[in-house]
Amino acid sequence: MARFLVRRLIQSAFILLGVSILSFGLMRLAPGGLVAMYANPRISQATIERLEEQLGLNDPLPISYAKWLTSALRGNFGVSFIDQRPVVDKIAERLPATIELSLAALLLGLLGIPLGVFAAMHRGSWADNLIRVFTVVGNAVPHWWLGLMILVISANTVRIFPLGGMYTQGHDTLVDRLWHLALPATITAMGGWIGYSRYMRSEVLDVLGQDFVRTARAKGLSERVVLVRHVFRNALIPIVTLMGGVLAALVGGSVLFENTFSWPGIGRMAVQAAFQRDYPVLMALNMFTAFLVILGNLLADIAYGWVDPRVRYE
Amino acid sequence: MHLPSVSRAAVCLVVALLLAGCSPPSPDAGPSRVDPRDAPAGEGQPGGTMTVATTGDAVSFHPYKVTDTASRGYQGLVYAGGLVAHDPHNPEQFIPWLAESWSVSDDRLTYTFHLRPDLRWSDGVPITSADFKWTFEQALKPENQYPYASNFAPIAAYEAPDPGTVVVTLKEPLAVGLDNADVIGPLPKHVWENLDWNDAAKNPEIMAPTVVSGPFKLKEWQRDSHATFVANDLYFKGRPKLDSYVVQIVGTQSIAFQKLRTGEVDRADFDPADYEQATRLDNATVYEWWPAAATWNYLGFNLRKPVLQDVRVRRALAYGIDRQLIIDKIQYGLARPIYSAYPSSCWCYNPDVPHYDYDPERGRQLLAEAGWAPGPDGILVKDGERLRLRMIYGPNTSKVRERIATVAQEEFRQLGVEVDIQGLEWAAFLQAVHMPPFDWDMTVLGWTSTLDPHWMYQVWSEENIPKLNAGAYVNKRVEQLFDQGVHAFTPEERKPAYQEIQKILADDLPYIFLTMSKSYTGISNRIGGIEVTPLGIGHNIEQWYVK
Repeated sequence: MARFLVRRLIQSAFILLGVSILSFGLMRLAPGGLVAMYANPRISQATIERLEEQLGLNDPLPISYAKWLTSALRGNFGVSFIDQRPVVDKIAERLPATIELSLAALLLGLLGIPLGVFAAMHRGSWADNLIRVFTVVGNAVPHWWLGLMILVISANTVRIFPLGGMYTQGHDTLVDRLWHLALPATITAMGGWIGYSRYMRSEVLDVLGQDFVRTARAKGLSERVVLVRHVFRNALIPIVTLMGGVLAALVGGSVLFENTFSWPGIGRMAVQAAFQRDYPVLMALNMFTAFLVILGNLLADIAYGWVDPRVRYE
Repeated sequence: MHLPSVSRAAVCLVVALLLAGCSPPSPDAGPSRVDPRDAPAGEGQPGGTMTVATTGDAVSFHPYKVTDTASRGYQGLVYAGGLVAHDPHNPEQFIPWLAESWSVSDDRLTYTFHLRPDLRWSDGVPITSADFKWTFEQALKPENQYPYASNFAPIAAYEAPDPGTVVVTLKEPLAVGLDNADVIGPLPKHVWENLDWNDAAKNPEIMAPTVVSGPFKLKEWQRDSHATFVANDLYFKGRPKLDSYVVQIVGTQSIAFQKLRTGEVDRADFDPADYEQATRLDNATVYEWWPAAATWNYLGFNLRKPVLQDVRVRRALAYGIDRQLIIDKIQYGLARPIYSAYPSSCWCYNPDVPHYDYDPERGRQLLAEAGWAPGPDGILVKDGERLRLRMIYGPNTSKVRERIATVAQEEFRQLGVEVDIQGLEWAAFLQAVHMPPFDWDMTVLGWTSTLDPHWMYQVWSEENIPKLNAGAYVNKRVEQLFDQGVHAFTPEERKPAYQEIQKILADDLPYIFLTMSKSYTGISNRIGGIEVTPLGIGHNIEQWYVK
């Protein structure tokens, strides 16, 4: 296990390095630059050139990458081009909001697992059909759009949900926060319900047909034990693979949902940074997301060993 | 994906490509008509909170660092602005602001401003000319990188002979002398001089100002969520009637509109598509005005292209555009046609210019005169070359620009001109328009006019190619007229120059001038004291109250 971990950590370092080179290169190759400056006619060309010089935008690509890398390795991701504040501070300030939404969505999303098991156990029933229709329709509709529609409908009829935001200014209570969290978390969790329930249903059906399940039943084990100890555990393996990407997917999803729900997290910041060509912020967020992907996959690999006793780490 | 707030801010900037020349750093919360001490007390009781929804959060409160629209809005709430202001009812006139009076020397080079005696920072310390001078000196230092440092170029000296007097000496006597002299909104020297001008980590006043001069003080700022402001008891126009003013950041304009409908917020700007519905709301009123600093749309030609250098081709295309269609279908009636470089809200407006009203037949004739004949597929051909134009617009999330481009494409097709449209992401668009190889033929863009017509010279002068003058239009007579206009000193003397400029530009047609937009905003009926002027509604924010 220790050797496995060490090997994976070394690999991860190289992956992060690769990601950083790719994102840095792609970012600089994209047309456009200091938008806030270019867009404003009152700012003279000389001012822009001086700023570009100061921000190191005129350095050749490899040199500016090397500069970025050496300071990033020391934990310094630079300052935002837009407001000159340290990038790390800006992310730290918005991260709690994203974590709150993502964690809530992640936990809610896990409901998809029992949903899938239930559908498989009652294959062909009206409940199974209902779940299947829900997952197909749910997959076909963009979730941020659905969220927006619910907001608009709710605003026009019964005010079930607030129109976005994390809490009501001046009434920042736990209940108020949960009320604001409910809709965004549910909409974000939909991806989990749909994905997990569909995988779970087909896996459970698959496992139910296996010889060892017949053997377990033949031994006279109760249906409950068969289901929990044999079926469920075996069916979980693909879910674990899915879960590996979930950390990154939640941050990725926040780019869409945070805008719809006026949620002050890092997703909104990422969109702004991309449009403004705020390279330091973009690089830091890219690296953060890459780190989450790697971490998620590593955790998934470790979890395999737990759900599937045949997996051993050398 | 829905339009993210950033790009919308950017749209404003260059729908805007704002040219506010040299106006003082006082954005929305501008001027008042009369000396506030003489003003009637107005209606409404003090107290209450007003909440406004907006899609873009500010970046910083530093007026000499950050100049985006949202930040300007926040800065205007906490800092009072400059020495003089434009009269909201008569925007070409100046009224006293932080200066109660001023005088101009006979040679028009020296401007002497006398500050109001009752000016106080929010901590009770008097606002004096030393604050102005100190702020000017900091902003002037090259290492402090004030983006608008070029505003200081006309200034020879900026002095504070006594605490109540600011004396600005200019290098040249110009009609826009007052604009040129009034370049500073002061920062509190007694607080800032011990702090770092540039680094927010060493100067908390940059992100959270505590000593201010404006109608409100900042209480709390939760980024991308909300900012709460509370009344400044020492504001020179009197304490605002509102106890607090909350800016709430929302994801999209449609959410802002829904919040206005449900009463969650008291003010929202919304999409023209929601205008009709907004006017029927029971709980809110849509306030509308034709702004003195009007925003107008145009189709700009790239005059580097030989095909477009023929004025007959440009005029033919202008005849092909149905402005009324754009106004009715794209701008939901919230616009007027324009025919040259100044909107009808300018004192210099010249209605007597060629109009090129929709007349495709005339357009086809002109193209035939220019030697273009229909080819086999109906597209015009000359010397074996098809008349095919590349039209770009940005940002690609702008519905209005996308629709204008599409309408133009369809209408030009009727003339036998093929148009390829490409929408570009904002940063990429700016680069394509302003930098070589200039491989576009037409672009959909807009300007926000300045209050003084002079500053628009930047758009039409050779020295501003390729930045402001992206299409590379050169006409020395126009530059000469602008020079003439700024060296005369009464509107009557200046007017002929700007009138001739409009005539020439309508003849030369470097742009197809399209429409000017109406301004509007939705405000809850629980808020009173709103007064609509050609400068908008922000000028008397201290008079707003909760009914």
